Amino acid sequence: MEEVKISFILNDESVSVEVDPRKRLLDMLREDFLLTGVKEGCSVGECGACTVLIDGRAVTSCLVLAPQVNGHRVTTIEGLQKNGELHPLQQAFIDSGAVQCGFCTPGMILAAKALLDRNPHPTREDIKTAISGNLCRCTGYEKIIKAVETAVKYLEGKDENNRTNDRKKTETLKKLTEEAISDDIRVIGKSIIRKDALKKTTGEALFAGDMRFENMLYGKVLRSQVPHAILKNIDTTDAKSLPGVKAVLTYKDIPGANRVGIILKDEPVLVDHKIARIGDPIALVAAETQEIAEEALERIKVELEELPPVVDVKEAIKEDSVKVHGDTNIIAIKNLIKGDVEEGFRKSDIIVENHYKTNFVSHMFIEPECGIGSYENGVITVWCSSQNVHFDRAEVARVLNMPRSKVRVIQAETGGGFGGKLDISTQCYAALLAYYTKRPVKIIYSRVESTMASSKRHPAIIRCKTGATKEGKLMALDADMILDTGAYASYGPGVITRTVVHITGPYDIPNVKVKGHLVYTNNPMAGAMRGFGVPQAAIVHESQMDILAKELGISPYEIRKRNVLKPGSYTATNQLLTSSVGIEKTLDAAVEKAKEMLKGWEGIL
Amino acid sequence: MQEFKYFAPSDINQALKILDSVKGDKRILAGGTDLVIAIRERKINPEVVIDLKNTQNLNYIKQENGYIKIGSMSTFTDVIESELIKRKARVLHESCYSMGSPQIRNWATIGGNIINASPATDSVPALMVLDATVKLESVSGIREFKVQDILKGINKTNLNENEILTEISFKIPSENTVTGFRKLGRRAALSIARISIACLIEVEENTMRCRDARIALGAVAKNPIRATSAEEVLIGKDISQKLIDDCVEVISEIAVKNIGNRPSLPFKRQSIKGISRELLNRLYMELWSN
Amino acid sequence: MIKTGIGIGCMWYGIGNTGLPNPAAAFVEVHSDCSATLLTGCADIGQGSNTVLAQIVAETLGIDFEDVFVTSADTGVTPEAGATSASRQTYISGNACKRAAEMARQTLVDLAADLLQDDKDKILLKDKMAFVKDTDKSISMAKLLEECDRRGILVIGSGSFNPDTTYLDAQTMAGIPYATYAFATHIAEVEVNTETGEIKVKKIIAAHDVGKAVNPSLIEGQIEGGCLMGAGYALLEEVLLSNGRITNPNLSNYLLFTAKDVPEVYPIIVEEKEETGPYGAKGVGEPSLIPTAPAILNAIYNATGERFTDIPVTQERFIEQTYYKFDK
Repeated sequence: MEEVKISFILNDESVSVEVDPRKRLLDMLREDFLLTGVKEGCSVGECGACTVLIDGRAVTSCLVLAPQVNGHRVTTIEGLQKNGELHPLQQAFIDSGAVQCGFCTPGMILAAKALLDRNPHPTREDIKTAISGNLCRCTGYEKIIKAVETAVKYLEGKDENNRTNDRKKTETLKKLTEEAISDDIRVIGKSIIRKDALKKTTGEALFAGDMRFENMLYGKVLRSQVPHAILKNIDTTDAKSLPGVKAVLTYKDIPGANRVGIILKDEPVLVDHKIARIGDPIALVAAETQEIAEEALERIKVELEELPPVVDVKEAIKEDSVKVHGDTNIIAIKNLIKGDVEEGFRKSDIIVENHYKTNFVSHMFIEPECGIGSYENGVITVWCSSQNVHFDRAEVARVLNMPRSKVRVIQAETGGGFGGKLDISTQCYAALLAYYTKRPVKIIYSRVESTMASSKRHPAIIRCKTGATKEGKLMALDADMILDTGAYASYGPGVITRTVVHITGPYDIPNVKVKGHLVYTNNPMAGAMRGFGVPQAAIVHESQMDILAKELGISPYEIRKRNVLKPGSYTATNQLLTSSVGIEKTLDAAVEKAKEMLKGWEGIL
Repeated sequence: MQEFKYFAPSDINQALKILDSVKGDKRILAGGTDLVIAIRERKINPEVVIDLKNTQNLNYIKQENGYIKIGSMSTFTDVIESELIKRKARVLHESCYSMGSPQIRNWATIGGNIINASPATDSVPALMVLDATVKLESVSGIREFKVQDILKGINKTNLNENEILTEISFKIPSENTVTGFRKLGRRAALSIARISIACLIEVEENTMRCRDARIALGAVAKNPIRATSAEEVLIGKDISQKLIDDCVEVISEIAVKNIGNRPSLPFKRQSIKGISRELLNRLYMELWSN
Repeated sequence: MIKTGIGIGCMWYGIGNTGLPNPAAAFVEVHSDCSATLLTGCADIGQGSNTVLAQIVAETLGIDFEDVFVTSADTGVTPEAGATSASRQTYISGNACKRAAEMARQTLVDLAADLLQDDKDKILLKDKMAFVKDTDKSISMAKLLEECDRRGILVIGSGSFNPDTTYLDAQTMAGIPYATYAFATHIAEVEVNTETGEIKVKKIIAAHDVGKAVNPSLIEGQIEGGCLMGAGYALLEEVLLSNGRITNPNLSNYLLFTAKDVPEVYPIIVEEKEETGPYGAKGVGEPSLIPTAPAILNAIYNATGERFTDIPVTQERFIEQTYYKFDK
């Protein structure tokens, strides 16, 4: 490809380069200038992680072709420090606790800088607008907005101690019996600035995608485009013959076990027989460049026998339904029984019964998964975005048939997880490719691949019947639920258990009967996601409480107040609670605050 | 990604010559906020890309003989920050402000947005109620059209292969005119219009008598449409709450007719009333206070 | 028409894996310059566990937070800590780190008792000093560590913690699934445009029983982030499927709330000390999201009289249920 010569100002320095015009500004900055503070989160200009400034304006560098900046001034996060001093925005982000995973931070700071350079006294609305093109999945934006407000003060030269002011908002209800030794407490209870805040505001924090090794190859995964099929044949000859391709692997190349999974080992590393979902991995490629690896994927010929898929969970539980694995789609049935639920309903004056339904939800951490494998001196090392490196190590060791002591998994900075980085993603692939090529191999998922391959929040269909006396005392709860775990179990068996155990809510109910089904379908895999089955349960028990309250003619607050768990209460699993049962305190504290802050608070009292 | 020849012409004449002389699938790169994605995802495979980002004299907003003229390479931010447009054509300001994110608005161009011919475009309904004209230039001359007349379906226009949209212009509305835009998105920013409405109402001096009304709806058909029968409800009458309610019903009927039997119909039939009523009421209040 | 309403959502959440062992371990080494190294398997994914665990170690050893250097989640050097999930790391790894620090501290306490000629039980470590309670006797930690060097004593500790749970009964699921529970109440105020289906969450009050707040700012960060994710769960987020295929796999079609959608969040920290937690702490990561969606659903009901039992309550779902329920 004919390269184009361009000159521009990059972080206050004149630079001239010859660049492939197909290259995006994002790639040029990351690859040619090693400015890895510019992050790639979505590739379609929606997340803002790749934000840079062009002539002082915020622009998503994934939508700009490199030669377009010819003659312009480009600023990245690396250009913000002057003479080794942080920009006031960087300092404010650190001081305000605006940094969590840090993946959105560079883009966020630059978007804010574009605002403050033009408008040094922005309103809160101005700030929200300025950063509205930068998605953050961790912070809820609150502290980021506050950080920009703080930066305004820093820029005005008002060096007030923001951090103490910041504390006013949150009220800590001290236990009256707080130990006398509290004078001796030095570090606990203090809003100390997090250890990693600095490097995340300067762009120096290294996520796996930012790491480079000499002689590094790029790995790609060939994935199924059909939800249900039998694999008949894979022909990799054509792919292997492509110059620059260093390895093409199929299930036949796996030295050890070809099944991984957090609870059940039901997920193939590479499909050997059955495809159970769109996105199932079929083959791996390692090549000198991403482009060659992509081309090699297209040259792999796969023969399939397509099967009808089962995508409706209610279909899937029928005996004559299509089976995803084995001879039943029902992975687990959980039965919880406490007391005598029939008796409980007989003693109830009011009974309400409703059906609830929730959907698949995606974690959408802003950093897509990435892993780098290397194989040196008989040791496999994997650097990756992960929530559990010890689990990753065990799986890589099983798959490679190596002792765990010869496998080292190191967590790179991880750009959010929320449960979605608990499953194996790139780890085994990177390890396998490194094992065969004896070179470091990096695998980085695109956003779309990440969404396709990672787990989701379980959709739930829940029926719930709740009974109470006319005094508003809960007497019985009877529920059943079906959770769709998709093609693989992942954390599903843990999720269904948790949903069943928590379905009563934080209330004392003497008689409880719950039945839970966890079911395979050919849908995307569902696993752990922040809340782990309890958000689904909470929607049910809290709606039931309000519906009951209305029937009983008491307020939403009152029905909760009369039923909350206390020390001495027994839970649905008949566990005796003895201490640290703060539900009533949170209820009362929230209601007190509501009286002060919310319109129409009388509606719940 | 397939290889392509890349040109960055320094002026429009050079651009037109290149466009006329090169062969194969050729694409104009304006902002590129849609094109770069399409190329990367291989939805299109151009052999030639002509980048106008650094082409001179295509980025301006000016007032000339009672008209506002906008160079096609003006970014959304340029339009939003123009005091002239904020004062004289508020509908365009509002619609451009509601598009995408600051990053997209800083890079995407108004010309590119028109040519992209999306059903949910934010700029076109506004330009339609301003009765805007677009100028298409090629080595063989200039053609001019009303903005809606170059749109021929989703992502389709009537531009010849060797033409570039260079300018958008419209007559400055009279002092007795109010304009505005309202869209329904799924979230408060960074959202594509589910439905949108742009409206211009001109009244006789010192009265509430409607002299002219123009209403355009977005995302109810392949391209934005003028809601002429709804305009007729207003024209020649005194604007009142009752009249607005009648107009809103007609707008909903027009939307229903255009949407056809799609799953979104029940939702859009209802919600378009919501945004229309809100916009028309707002303009009504403005007329009162003027 | 714009209608406003408020609603309550309560929740409980068991800390750690359900009815299963889920231990964590940690190593601590105190160096002669009063700094310390903490090795923990716990993965910090942005929630701030490296900071919280360092606070626990610094407190236990009586040294400065800045002097605790953390290496985490590297199987070549750190011991097993289990998953960063189930809101378990502050409680479980927190205890493991505390125990590791206590073991190292014991070495210092023993030596201090020896040098100060007093009871081990009366030795307190804080501010890089060893004190004998109720006396004016003290010795600096620097001196103690110098003496360690001289005597050839290494100040190290390892610790592990497994929450006190039982397996659940196969027939009834009776048992102790969790050693402790977090609790929370959210109250949401919403504004519903009944003509367009637009629902805005204006304010959320979020009261959380965290046992003991090790780092209030980090807890606020969890609560604020959880509230927005919970609002997304109630109103916006859904993976759309067509025969097993995700039709909205990118951030352009799977939408997350932006900075312009943010409600005002008022976090309230309630401290009902957990006796088995490190300095009384439990967990907050997941609880922060759980009560939000139900509070919003109840607030929509309060505002409009419409009860939604399918989520998310998108504009379409609102309009269809409100205007067309009799058509179905």
